Amino acid sequence: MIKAVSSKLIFGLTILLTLVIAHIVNIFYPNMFNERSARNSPPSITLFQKLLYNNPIEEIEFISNWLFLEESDNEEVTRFERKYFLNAPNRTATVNKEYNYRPTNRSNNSVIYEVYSAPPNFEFRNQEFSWIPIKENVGAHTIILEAYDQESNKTFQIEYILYVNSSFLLFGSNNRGESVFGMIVKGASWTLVPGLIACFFGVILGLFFGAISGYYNNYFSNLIDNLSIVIESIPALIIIFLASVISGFNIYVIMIFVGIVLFPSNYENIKQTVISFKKSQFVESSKEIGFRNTTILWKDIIWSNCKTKIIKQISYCFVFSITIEITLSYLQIGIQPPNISWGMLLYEGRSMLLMGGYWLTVFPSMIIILTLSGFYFVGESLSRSLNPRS
Amino acid sequence: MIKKIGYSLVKSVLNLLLSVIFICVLLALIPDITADNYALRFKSYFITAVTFNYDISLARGFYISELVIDASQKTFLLIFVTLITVIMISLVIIILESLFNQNYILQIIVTVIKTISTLPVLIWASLLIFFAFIIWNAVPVYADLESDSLWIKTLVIALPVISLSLGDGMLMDFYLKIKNELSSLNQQQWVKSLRARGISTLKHKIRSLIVPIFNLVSSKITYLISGSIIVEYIFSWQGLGFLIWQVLMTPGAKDYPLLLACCKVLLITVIIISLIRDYIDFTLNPHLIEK
Amino acid sequence: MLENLYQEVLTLEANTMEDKIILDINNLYINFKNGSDIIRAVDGINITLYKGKTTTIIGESGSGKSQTVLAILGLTDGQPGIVSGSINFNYHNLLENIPLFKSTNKNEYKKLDKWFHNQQKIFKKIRGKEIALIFQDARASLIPYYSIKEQAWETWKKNNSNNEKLFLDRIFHLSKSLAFENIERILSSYPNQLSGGEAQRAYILLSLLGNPELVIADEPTSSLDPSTSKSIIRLLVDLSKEENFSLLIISHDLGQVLSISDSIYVFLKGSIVEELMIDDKDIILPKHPYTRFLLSMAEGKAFRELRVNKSIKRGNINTTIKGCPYANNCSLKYEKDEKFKSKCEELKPDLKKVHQGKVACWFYE
Repeated sequence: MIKAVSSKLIFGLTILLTLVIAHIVNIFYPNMFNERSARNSPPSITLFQKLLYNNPIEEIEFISNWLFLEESDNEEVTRFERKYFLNAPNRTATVNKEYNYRPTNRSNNSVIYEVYSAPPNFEFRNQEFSWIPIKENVGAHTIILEAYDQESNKTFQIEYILYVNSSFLLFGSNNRGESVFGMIVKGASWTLVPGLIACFFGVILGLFFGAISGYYNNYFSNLIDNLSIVIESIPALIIIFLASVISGFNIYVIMIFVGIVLFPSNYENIKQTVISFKKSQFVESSKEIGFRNTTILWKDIIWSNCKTKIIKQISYCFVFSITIEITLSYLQIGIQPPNISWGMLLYEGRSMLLMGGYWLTVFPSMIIILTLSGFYFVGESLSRSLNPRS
Repeated sequence: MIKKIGYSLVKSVLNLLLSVIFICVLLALIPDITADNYALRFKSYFITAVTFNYDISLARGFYISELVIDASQKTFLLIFVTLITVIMISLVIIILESLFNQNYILQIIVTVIKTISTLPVLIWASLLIFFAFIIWNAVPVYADLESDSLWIKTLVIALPVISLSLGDGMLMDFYLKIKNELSSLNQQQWVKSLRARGISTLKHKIRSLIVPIFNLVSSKITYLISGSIIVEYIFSWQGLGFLIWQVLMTPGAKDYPLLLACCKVLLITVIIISLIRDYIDFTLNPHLIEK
Repeated sequence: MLENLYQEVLTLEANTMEDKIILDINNLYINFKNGSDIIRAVDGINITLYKGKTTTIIGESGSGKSQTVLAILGLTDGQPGIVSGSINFNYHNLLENIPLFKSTNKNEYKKLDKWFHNQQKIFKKIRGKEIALIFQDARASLIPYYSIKEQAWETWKKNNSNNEKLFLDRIFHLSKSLAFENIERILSSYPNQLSGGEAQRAYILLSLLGNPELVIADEPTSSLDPSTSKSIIRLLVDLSKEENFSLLIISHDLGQVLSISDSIYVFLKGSIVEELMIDDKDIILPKHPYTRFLLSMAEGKAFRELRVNKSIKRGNINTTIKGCPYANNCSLKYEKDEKFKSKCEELKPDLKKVHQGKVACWFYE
C-alpha cells in the first residue's frame, strides 16, 4: 500500500509521536516540570544568552547588562567604566552545575578584582568567581563585584542579578516562574483529542451526508445542501466566538462547532465526487449484476476513489482545530487558567516582547510551526503515496 | 438574463435571512440576566437584527451607527487592500516566471514562500510585530496613520496586509489558481486559432481569467474576515472583528445590538461579493446562459 | 547584391511560367525533444504549391503533416521546433537567417529559440491576412463567448478598415456562398449552439474575411459525418475558384480528396514517399505501395481491385530512421532478390520523377 516512505512522512510521524508521548506524560506525570524557578529568566543555554546581549535592545534598563551604583559610602567608588569589565557574566545558573565568571579588562594588568557581595558558598580564586548552587539556592541573587585599579587608585563596581534555575529552564521561564518547556509539554494535551472531535464532526459527518445526498437525490439532500450553504457564508470565527461564549470556554464543545464549520467544504467535495462517479458505466453494470446500493456506494465509489481526499481533509482538520484553539486562547476566550495552552504562552509573551523577552514568543511559535507542518506533511505524503497519479 | 439576476438576488436575500437566523439561534443560547426564556431572547435578537433601529446609544456612549461605520471603514480597508495585493503579487510572480524561464533564484523564492505560507495568520502577525520591533524599533498601530513619516504610514498598512495575505496559504492559492488557469488557457484550441489568425490574445486571456479569480475571491472572503479579526486584535485596529470580540469578552450583560450590527455588515459584505461574482459570470459568459 | 539578382531572376521566371509558385518549402526539418529522445517529426520535405491549384497532403497520424502546416505560420510549440530549411512565400523566405543546426546541445537550442522568437513578427504579418488556417474541431476553435458576428467584426477590424458597411456587405456575400440556410440565426448565435457543419462553415467565413491568398485546411472534416464532409470539401473548392485563392487540404482519407485535388503529397513518418500530379482526374495510378494501401481503404468501386489485406504495424514515431520508412510493412521488397530487400531496409530512397509525379521507392529505379 505505501510504497516509498518519504522523509516528509518520517518527519511528520516523529512529531505525532512526540505529541502522543507528551500527552501520555501529561496524564501520568502531570507535575513533572512544575517546580517553580526564577521569574522572567531567559533560556539557560549560553548561545541564547549571547543572542540577548548582542541585539540592540540592550540599552533598555530592564535587562541592561550592568546595573551600577550611583552613590556609595566610599567616595572613591565612581560610575562604572566599561573597560574594566569587558565580558558580560552569565545571568543564569542551574542547580548542581558549576557557575564560573572570570572578569577581564583591556590588558590593564594593574587591576585587581574582588567580590563585594555574593551568595554563600561561593569561591573566588585566581580572579575567577565560581559557585555550585544547590536546590535551596533557587531564585534571584544579587552579586556585586569590584575592580580596584592600582594606577588611578579608583574602585569600580558592577552589580547584576543572577537567576538560579532548577533543572529544566531550557526555554526560560515566565512571569510566575514556570518553565516554558513545561508549559509547552502541558499545552500539547490540547492538540490531539480536540482535533479528533472536530475531525469526527467535520470529516466523518461530511463524508456520510455527502455520500448519501450525492447518491440519492431527494428532499433530504436539498435540505442539507441549503444548510451547508448557510454555514459556509458565515465567517468561521464568528461562529466559533459564539460557541466559546455559549459553552463557557469548554474546549470540547467548541470543537463540535469547529467540526460544523468544516462540514460544508467536505460535504460539497464528496458530493461532487459521488455525483460524477454515479454517471459512469460501472455503476449501471453493478446495479444490473445485482449489487445493493449501499455496497456500490461505500465500497466502489468512496473507498476506491475518495481515500486521498479524506486523508487530506483529516490532516487539514487537525491543523485547523489546533490553529483555532491557539487563536482562542490567545484572545483569552479559549482555554482559561489554570489550564495552559500554547496560545496563552503567546499572549503572555506579547507584553514581554516589548521589553526584550523573546523566549515566550519564539519557542512556542517554533513548536507550533513544527506541529502544524508535521500534521500537514503526514497528510500530504500519505495521500500522495495512496494515489501516485496526483 | 434579468430573470437570472433576479433569481440570484432572491437566493442571496434568503441566504442572508437564514444566516441571521442561525446567528440569533446561537446567540440566544448564551445565558443572560435580563431574559430567562430562550424564546424571548431569540425573538428580541431577531427583531433587532432585521430592523434598522440603530440610533439607540449603547453603554459606551456612542451611537451604534457611528461606531459601526467607523469600524467598517477600517475592516474594509484591510480586506480590500489585502485582496488587491494578493492578486497583484501573484500576477507579478507569474509574469516574472514567464520572462525569466527556469531561473533558479525565482524558483527558490517561490518554494520558500510556499513552505512558509502554511503558517496561520496568528503566527505571522506575532512574528512580524517582533521583527518590526527589533529592526525598526516601532510597533505600528492604527493611530500611527496620522504620523508624518511616510515609512511609518506604509508600515501601519503593510504589516497587517502581509500577515493576512501570507497566512494559511492565501497568496499561494491565488498564485496556483491563476497559473493553472493560464496554462489551461494556452492549451485551448480557440486561443491557438486566435494566434493563427494573427489576433492579439491578451485581451481575451484577461477576460477569461476574471471569472476564476472572482470565484476564488468569493470563496475566500469568509476566511479573510476571520483572519482580519485576529489581525485587528494584534495590530490594534478598531475594526468590526475587534468590536465583536470586545462585546463577547465583557462578562455579564453584553451589548447585543452592537454585535448584531457588526455581524450584519459582515454578512452583507459576503452576500454582495457573491452577487457581484454571479453578475460577472452572466455578463462575461453569455454562451452559458441560454442553456 | 547577388540575392537581389537571384530574386529578380525568379520573379521573371515565374511571371513567364504558366503556373506561378505561391509557396515553396525546401528541405524542412522539424525536431522535438522527448526526454532524451529526439523525434524527427518532419524529415527533409519539399513541397511546391501553385497559384489557383488545389493541393492535398495525405498521411496517417504522426506523419508530420500538421507540423509542416504549423511551421508555415510559425506556430510550432515544441522544443526545438524548426531546425533547418526554407519556406518561400511569394519569394520571401519566412525562415531567413535561421542558425545552422550542428548538434543537439543546449546552446544550439537556445539560439534557435531566440531566432524563432525574433521571427514571430514576420509570421504575424502573414497570419490571417495572406495565409489562413482552418482547424479540425471548428466548435472549439471559435471564441466561446462571442457570437459569430462579433468574432467576424474582430477579425475584420484587424485586417481592414473600421468600415461597418463594407463589413456587412462582405459577410452577407460570403454567407450566401457558404450556403447558410438562415443567415441571421447563425450570425447571432454562440459557437456551442451550432452544429458541426455550421461551425466549420462559420470558421471558413472568418478565415476568408482577410482575403487570403492561400487557405490551409488541417483535416477539416475529420469530426464530421461523411455527407457533411463531402459538402464542405466541395464548398472549399468552389470558394477557391470564386474568391481566387489556392487551397491546401490535409486529410487522412484518400477517397475524399482524390476527385478534387490537382496534386497529392503522401507523407509517411515525416518524409514524402510519393507526389502525384493529376491532370486527368479519372485515371490515377499510384505507384508507391503505401499509397496503394491507403487507396485500398478508400471507398469507391474503382479502387476495389487494389485492396490489400494488411494492417500497418505501429512502431515508435520515427526515433531512428534507417532505410525506407515503409520497409517494415512493405510487400514489394520481396519481389526481387535478397540484396534488394536489404537495400530497402538500409538505404532511404529519394524522390525520383516518374510519369504523373514523383515516387520514393527502390522498386521503380
